[in-house]
This record gives sequence, structure tokens and C-alpha cells, in this order.
Amino acid sequence: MAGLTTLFLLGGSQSTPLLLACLGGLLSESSGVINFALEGMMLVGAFTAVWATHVTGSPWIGLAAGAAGGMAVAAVHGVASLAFRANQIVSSIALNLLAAGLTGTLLNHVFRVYGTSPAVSKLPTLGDWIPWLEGSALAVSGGLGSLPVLVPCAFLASLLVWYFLLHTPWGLSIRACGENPMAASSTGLKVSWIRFGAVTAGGVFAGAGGAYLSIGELAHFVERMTQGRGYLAVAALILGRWMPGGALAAVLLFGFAEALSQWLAVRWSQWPPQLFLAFPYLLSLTVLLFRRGRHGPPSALGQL
Amino acid sequence: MTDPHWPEGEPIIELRGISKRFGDLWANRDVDLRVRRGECHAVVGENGAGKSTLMQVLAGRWKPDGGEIRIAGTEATFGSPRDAARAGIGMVHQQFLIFPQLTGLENILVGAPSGGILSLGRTRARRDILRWCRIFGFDLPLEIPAYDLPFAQRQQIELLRALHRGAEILILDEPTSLLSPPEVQRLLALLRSLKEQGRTLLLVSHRLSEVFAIADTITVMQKGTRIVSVAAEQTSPAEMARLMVMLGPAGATGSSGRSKGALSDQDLSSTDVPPLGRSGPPYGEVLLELKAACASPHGNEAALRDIDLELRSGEVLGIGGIVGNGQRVLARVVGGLGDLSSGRILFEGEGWEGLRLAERLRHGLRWLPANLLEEGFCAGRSLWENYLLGHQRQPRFQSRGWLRRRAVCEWTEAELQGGGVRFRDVRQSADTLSGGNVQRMGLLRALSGSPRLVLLEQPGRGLDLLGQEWLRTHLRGLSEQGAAILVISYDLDELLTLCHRIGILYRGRLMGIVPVGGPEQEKLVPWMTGIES
Amino acid sequence: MTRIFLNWLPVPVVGVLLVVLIGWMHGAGPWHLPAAIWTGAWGTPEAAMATLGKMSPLLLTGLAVALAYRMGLLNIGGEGQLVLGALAAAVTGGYCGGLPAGLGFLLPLMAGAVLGGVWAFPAVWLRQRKGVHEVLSTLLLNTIAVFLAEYLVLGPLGDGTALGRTPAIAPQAVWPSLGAGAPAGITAAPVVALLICWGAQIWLSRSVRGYEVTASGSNASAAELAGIPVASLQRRIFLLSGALAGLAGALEVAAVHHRFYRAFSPGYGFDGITAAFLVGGSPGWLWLSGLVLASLRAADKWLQLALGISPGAIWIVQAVLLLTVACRFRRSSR
Repeated sequence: MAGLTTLFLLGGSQSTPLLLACLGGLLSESSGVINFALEGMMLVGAFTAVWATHVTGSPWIGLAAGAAGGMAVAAVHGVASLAFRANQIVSSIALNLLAAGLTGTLLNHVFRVYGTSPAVSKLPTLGDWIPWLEGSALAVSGGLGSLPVLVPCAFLASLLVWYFLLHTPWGLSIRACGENPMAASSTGLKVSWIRFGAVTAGGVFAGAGGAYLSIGELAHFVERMTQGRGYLAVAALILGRWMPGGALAAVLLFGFAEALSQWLAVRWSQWPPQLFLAFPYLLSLTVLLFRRGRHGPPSALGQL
Repeated sequence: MTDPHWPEGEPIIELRGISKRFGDLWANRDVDLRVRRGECHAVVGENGAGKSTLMQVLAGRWKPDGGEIRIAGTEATFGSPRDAARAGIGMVHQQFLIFPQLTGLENILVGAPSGGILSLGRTRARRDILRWCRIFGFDLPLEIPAYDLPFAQRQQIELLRALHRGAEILILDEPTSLLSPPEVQRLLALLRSLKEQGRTLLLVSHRLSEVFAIADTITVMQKGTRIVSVAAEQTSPAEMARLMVMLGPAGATGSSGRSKGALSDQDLSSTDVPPLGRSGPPYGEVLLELKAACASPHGNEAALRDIDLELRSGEVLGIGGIVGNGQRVLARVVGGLGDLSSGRILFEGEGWEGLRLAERLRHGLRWLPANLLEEGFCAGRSLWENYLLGHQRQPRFQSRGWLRRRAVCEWTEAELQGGGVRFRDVRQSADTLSGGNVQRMGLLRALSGSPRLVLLEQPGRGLDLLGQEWLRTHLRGLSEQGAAILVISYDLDELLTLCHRIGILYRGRLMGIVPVGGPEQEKLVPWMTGIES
Repeated sequence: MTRIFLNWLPVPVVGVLLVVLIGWMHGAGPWHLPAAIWTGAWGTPEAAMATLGKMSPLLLTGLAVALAYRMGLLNIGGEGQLVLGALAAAVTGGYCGGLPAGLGFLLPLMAGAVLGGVWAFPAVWLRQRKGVHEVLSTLLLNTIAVFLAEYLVLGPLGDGTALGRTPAIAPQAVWPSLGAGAPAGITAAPVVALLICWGAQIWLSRSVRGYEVTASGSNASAAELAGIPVASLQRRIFLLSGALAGLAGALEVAAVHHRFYRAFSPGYGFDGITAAFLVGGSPGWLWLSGLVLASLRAADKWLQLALGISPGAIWIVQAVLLLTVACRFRRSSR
């Protein structure tokens, strides 16, 4: 029982960065701009969050800075793909490379260290806000109270994004640009601006996802700490058929798979650890075999 | 421009001296137009006369290079379609701009001003739209994705999109080109009721019968300029047809001295063109034969059911019908990209089932796809590379697997020059060619050498009158050399001018085949809607 | 020609500006960093040889990307294919002791190429059968390959030490050094890689098959209507692309390291993407981007020692160059 609770909590906390990044990807790709750069946005977000927290001492400012960092990368992606009509995949790859190089260099430049930054203060956990959670029945082995507050926020955000995309005029405009930019512009939408807005807004989410890794879960930045989570987020987006609900389900699948493999890695230590490390990737490659529903990618994904 | 025929009445739209240029080409040159409130004003003209451009200028899609637009007496500048929509102008496009994965309702609501930013106001919008649907008798499902809807309903979506935004002026660009005859009748009735409600309609069309059924005023355009505007009751279809292609002084400014003599007057209206000649059989031996052929659907296209047809050497057979009734499936089956689920396909008596396209090409098949730019063209590659497509395995262009580039280039240059394609160098990039030149190049490529079986989909697309004449001559020559030609087109008029016999596909079934020029020709139109006679 | 010029002109400009900027950020003079890169990469004969030695994996992974891209496919999986190719070569090379020299020389290379191709297969299969974009699947395969190699080299295929490496390959499989006495002795590998690239260029532009590949990459449906078997060509080219990346790894083992290490590749697979796109996917010009990237790579240790700049700076330069070539600075023709 205690083990299952741990698993559940771990799953929730593993899903959070994926979910935030996936929401970012969803916004961007719904508008028709391919986004493989989530990895880079997360990484930069993770770094700027630690940096700002280090400078100001406030993890909340750190979170904002993380979001801004992700947004900055997204803005570059938006300018390259929309204003300069770059190949969106190549631009994404370049930005991931840029993020890895930039964070490594800045880590050295700002903190005078290689590899891992000094510790900074963390975002509060649920227990800090709602003290009775610590003492509740769920408090076994760390407990619900030990979850960072960003976890419920992320799930709330997925609800908001769902409502925004499906039920508001702006959301409809974004989807219209992803479906048929020519028709969208003939109905008077400013396609390039809407797309740019969607991409940068997506960067905010991905950056927050990175900040969760550095100042939500841990309290410092580690070089390349995203470890391919941005790619998993894209896989979740594809698996979820570019729909908010589907993406959430796919993220939960990956998050819990990661939690399970971490959980099992402790229990079955005679097995090679690489197996557990690779498990989420193997799983996502496997589930990509299954396609459900008729809803496909936005019809004009990657087209200008 | 003073014009004795200017209709009287208060103009709601007034265009003065509108000019629009694309590169070296004047799409519109100094065009004046006056449209009265509440009338149906038709703009007619040949392909490339500049009708669509003019309408898109009015709808805010293009900014004119010169001239002014006045709406209800005040000058208006449209920076975007949104500005035009605010001025009460809505447009229904020729190729129906829809958002495939959005529902019908969402398709209508895109870009519409709504109650707030937090809600689409779906409930109220749905009520409003259902009211429109009741008034017009639309049976439009609002909750399923638009890619499932037939063309007529996609058009209804565009119409409702304009009306939902309160458009008082509706522009319809070739609204009937993808509709079946009964759907056309329904649309015309709808347009009449819109007119009765006091809306102003601008109708772009080249089908004079429809124009005369509904229009109050008709404006003729040619080569980017307005020739004349007349009240519909003061003229006749024949006169209009003559005006549409007349090479008057205004037309001559567009392209100087384009061989006047090539077109004699009776050639001009496309319906009056004499058929290909040769009255009916006998032709040569049977080349292509389909026996009880069935094939599964492809995309939005109907499955083929029990097709029986014979195509003889020297014959031009046309296959008509409304979009989506299985024409593309038939093309794929003949071309070798689609498999038969049952039945047989024979070429010179030999079974062609399972024979790949590459081998069929070797047997002398040529294929001009319907959408040349998307399916037959490598934009960004050179002319010779494009012209070689489909011919690349011919022995004369290779030695032991290596391309003989000089031979290819010389051949391409000779063929393109002979076919009247305008180009500088065969190494220039293919996307420097204009649309009409691309189509010509595609046709030349498909008809080059001595093909045995030619499959042409929508061959007349983008060709002007001279190009069509050239195509007719070329096909006649090929059929005299003994090639069998299968022409697939949605345009019955085009088939009537090109083919010896015409068959109609309806929901994947071949309704029948009749010779052109015979009394049975009457059956074709009813067949298109599934009415057997 | 002017078009190519206008599109490519920003690349060196941006590159130089950036290098100067990074140097200035670190408090060095404007030409300090370029000078340091030059010294690090070409300053001594040893450095020059090390730089040239880095050419062969870059050329081959670059060719892997360029070839697949000609076919309209993006093979981002070079890293995984290279790692597994290297591992396969190292393991095969270990068993080549008793074989005749020629066979012992070729077998590890072939094993590397085959495993690289095998590792590319799931991606093209997923794309053709399930519509999964190959960029995503190759990225996932990269991670899996790295973990797989790590497990194998620490466990069943290791040399028994805790260092995470395979036993050294047999002398028959080792590429001999050309220059006598140089520490990282230069072998014929870069020359072979260069010849492969040029051969690929000639094949692409002069052969009928190469024409068909180009046409399929430019417009797949047009190619299909021209009787070109697009799907099977896609499969073959993608496997070939994987094989080239695998061969890159095998060559690294045979010519440079003579065994497989944990964390074997310093990102050659990803550098291949930059190399290919820097020259617009044209194999004949890969030597140029290969030289630039090899210089940057070779200089990164030196930069750290001489100027205290983290090696990440090299990635920044590389990323910005890649971003610059991805952008189109000329208005389209319409």
C-alpha cells in the first residue's frame, strides 16, 4: 500500500514537467508550427529559473524567469520559422543544441562551476501551504505534502488549455491557422501573428516545465538535466493525437511509466539500471504503434 | 470610361480605375465597376480575364496597385479580409476554403466577432445558424468534421460564414464549378432568395446559362480589363459569348498582337466548338479493357463498381461526372497505383493486374495527373529534371544506369520550344514558369514520343483558348497515330470538345457511354445526377 | 548562383560575429577566440592531425543526413546508429585475431554498417506503416541505443574491468597510421570518407537512380506517378543512411580508438546534422562543413585550457550556424 502511494506520488511528479512541455507543444502545433524544440525550451527554462532564484532569492521570480527563458527560445523559433520560413524541424534541432551549449556556458560563466549549479531555494511544496496534508493518511513515505505546488497547478493548466483551445475564440483562431492558413487569412485572421503568439505562449509552458525540474523537484541546475523529456513530450503529443485530453492521458502514461521504472529500479536492483532508464523511451516507441481515433495532426502542420 | 450601358441606380460598390499587377502581368488594369444595391451582378470572362483577382481585391485579399474602392459612397481601403468583412463584404471561394478537422459550426465561427474572449457563444451561434439553415433549406450537420462533408455542404459553410458575419454584399467565385446540376438549381434558388432579402450579389462565372438565370447586370472582362457592362435583359448569351473572347482594342493592350487569326468567330464560345471530328467507330483494335472492374474507395472518392469499358486505338474517350464519383480511383486503377478488388484490366488482351506503374510506362502509358503542381511537378528543380519525370528509364537517356544529361537537355529544349512553352534555359528552376506554361509542359510531357495509352486528368485546367485549341489539335494528331486516349474531366463542355465518346461515372458506377454528337448525348446531364433514362 | 550566394552569405558572417561576441563576453579581445580556435585546431602538427582525424565521422554522419534528406527524410538518429555501429565493430574486431588480414580489416566495418542500418530500420518502418515522423522515432532510438550500449559495455561485452570498455580489437582490424611517429597517427580514414562523399555526390547527380532519389525527395507523389518505386527507395536510402552512420562509428573504432568506450561519441551523430545542413545537403561540399566543425570540435579542449571558455561555447556557434542556414533570407519567387 505504502509502495503504491509512493508510486502514485512519483507518477504525479514525473508527469508534471512532461505535461507542461506537452501543453506548450500543443499550443504551438495546434497553430501549425512544428515544435521539436521543447527540449531546448525546458533546458533554458530550468537554467534561468535557477539563475533568477539565485539572484533574487525568490523561487517565484525564478519560476517566472523560467517561463520567460522558455518563451525566449520559443520566440527565436517563431521568428525563424515564420519570418524567415526556416525548416521548422531544423530550427528546432538547432535550438536544442543552442540551449545545451548556452546553459553549459552560462553555468560556467555565472556560477564558475561545471556540471551542477550551487543549491538555490525551492518552490514550496503542498505541505508548506496546507499543513494538515503532512499529517494525513496519505503522509506515508514523504506523502502528498511533499509534492511541489506546481504539480496541481500543471493539471489545472491542462484544463485551462483545453478550455482555451476548444471553447474560446482565440483558441478557435489558433486551430484554424493550423488547419488551413489560407482560409484563416481569408476570414481576416492575422495568421503569422497568431502563430507567433501560440508558439511563444507554448514556450512559457515548456519553460515552466523546465523550472519545475530545477527548482520544483531539485534545488539546483544540472547540465542537460532535461534528459530528453522534451522529446517524450512530443511523443505524448503525437500519441494524444494533438488533442488536450489525449495529450494528458499520454503524459500520464509516460509519467507513470517513468515512476514505475524508478520504483522498480530500487526494488529489482539486480537488473541493469539502463533498462529502467530506457524504459520510458522504449514504451513511447511501442505505443506509437497504436493509433486511435480519426483525429490527425493539424492539417497544415509545418506549412506556411 | 463612359459606357452607354451603365445601369441606372444608386451604386453600393464603386470601383474606379482598379489595377493589380503580379510581377510583369497585369491581372487588372484600370477597371471600373458599379454595382447597385440589391442587384445580382455577374462578372463573366475567360480564364485569366482577371475576374477572380478583381473580386479578391474587393474582398481585401489583395491590395490594388492603383484605383479606389467606394462602398455606399464612402472611400474604403481594405488592408485585409477583415476590413472588407467589416464593410459587409463576404466571399465564397471557388475551391471552398474550409478547415478540415474543425466541425461545421467551428468552421462558420472562425474569425467571427463573438460575445467575448472567454466563450465562443456556441449555443447562441448554433441557434442563429440553424435558423439560417431552416430558411435556406440546408441540411447541414454542424457537429462533424468538415472533411466528411460533400462539396455542396462545404459551400454552404462558406456562405453561412459570410452571412453570420452580417455580410450585405456576397461575392461568389465560380460557385457552381463543383456542384451537380440539381445542386446548381438549388443554389440559384438560394441566391434569388438572398437577393429578395436585399443583399447584393456579385457572381463570377464563365457559365452563361447560369448567369442569365439569375443576373440583373452582366459585366464582361477580358485580359484584365472591363469590356462592357449591360443589363441582362438587353443582351443575349450569344452576344455575351462573342464579347468574352472578342479581341477589341481594350483586349489588345493586354498582350500585344496575340495572333488574331488563330481564332475565328465561331470557335469562340466554348460550347459552340465543333467536336473532334471523325464520326464514331470504327477505330483500331481494342487497347484497354476493363471487365467488371471494382476497386475500393480512395480518400473522398467513391469505390468503383462493375466498370466495363473498352478503349480502342485512335479513340478519345471522355469520363465525366461530378467531383468525387470515382474518377480518381479509375485513374489510379488504369495508371497502376490502385489495385482492383475484383474484375479485370487488360491491355492488348494481356492482364495488367499487379503490373506496376513503371512497367505500364514501358508499355506506352502516359499519365497527366489532375493536380499537376502537387502531383506532377518538382518545384525548385530544373526544367529538364521535371520534363524527364516518367521518361527517365528510357534507354536513349541513359547508358548503364548513368544519365545522359546532354541528350536529356537537348530533347527537353526541343520539345518545349516546339510546344510553345516560354522559357530561357532548360536549367532554370521550374517554379519560374507561369501556371499556364506549367500545364502546357505537363501536357507535352504526357504526350511526348509515341504513347500507346494516354490518361489525361483535367487536361484543360489553366489553359487559355489558344492552349485549348492547341490541345485539341495535338490530341487529334495522337489519335490519328493510333494512340488510345482517356480524358477524365469534371467539365462536360471540355469533354464534348475533346472526345469521341463520353461516359459518366456516378457513385463509382459507369452510367453508360455515348458517342458525341449523337442524339443520346442528352442523357449525359441526367446521368451525372444518377438518373437513368 | 546569386541565389545560393545570398542564402549562404549570412553563414560565415554570423559565425564570425558570434565567435567575436563570445570572446568579448569572456573578456578577451575580438580576435582572441578565433585565434585560439585556429591554434587549437591547426597550431601544431599533432593538433592538425587530430582535427583531420575528426573529419571522417563528421563526413560520414553528415552524408548520412544529407542522403536521407535528398529522399525527403530526416535521419536524426545518427548518434544511436554511430554508437551501435562502433560497438558492433569493436566486438567483431575483437574476434578477428585468426582471420586473414583483408577479411579482418573489412569485417568490423561491415558489422558496424549493418548494425547502423538495423538501428535505422524501425524508424522507416514506423513512418511507412504507422505514419510516425522519423525525427521523433530516431530521437527515441538514439536514447535507447546509448543506454543499450552502456549496459552492454558495462556488462556482457566489457573487458572485465569497471572502466566500461570493450577489449581492444585485433591488430588485423586496426587501420595503420600513415604518418610515422605522430601521436594520434593519421590514417586513411578521412580520405576514404571524403571519397565516399564525392562518390555519393556523383551518384546522386549523374545516375538514373540518383535522379529518382532526388525527384522522390522533391515531390513524392510526382515521383510515384513517374513510375519511381518511392516507398522501397525510401526504405533503402534510409537503411543506407543508417549504415553510413554505423560505418562512421566503425571507422572511429578501427582507425582511432581501437576499442569501444562508454560515452563513445562526443555528439558526432548530431554534428552530422549541422554538417549536412551547413552545405545545403550537398555531399560534394561536406568537406567544407566537415573542416569547420572539426576545427571547432578540436579546439574546444584548448579553449577551456587557454581561455577558460566552457566547451558549450562551441555548441552555441554550431547551433547559431545551423539556425542561420535554416532561415531563408531571400523573398520567395512568388
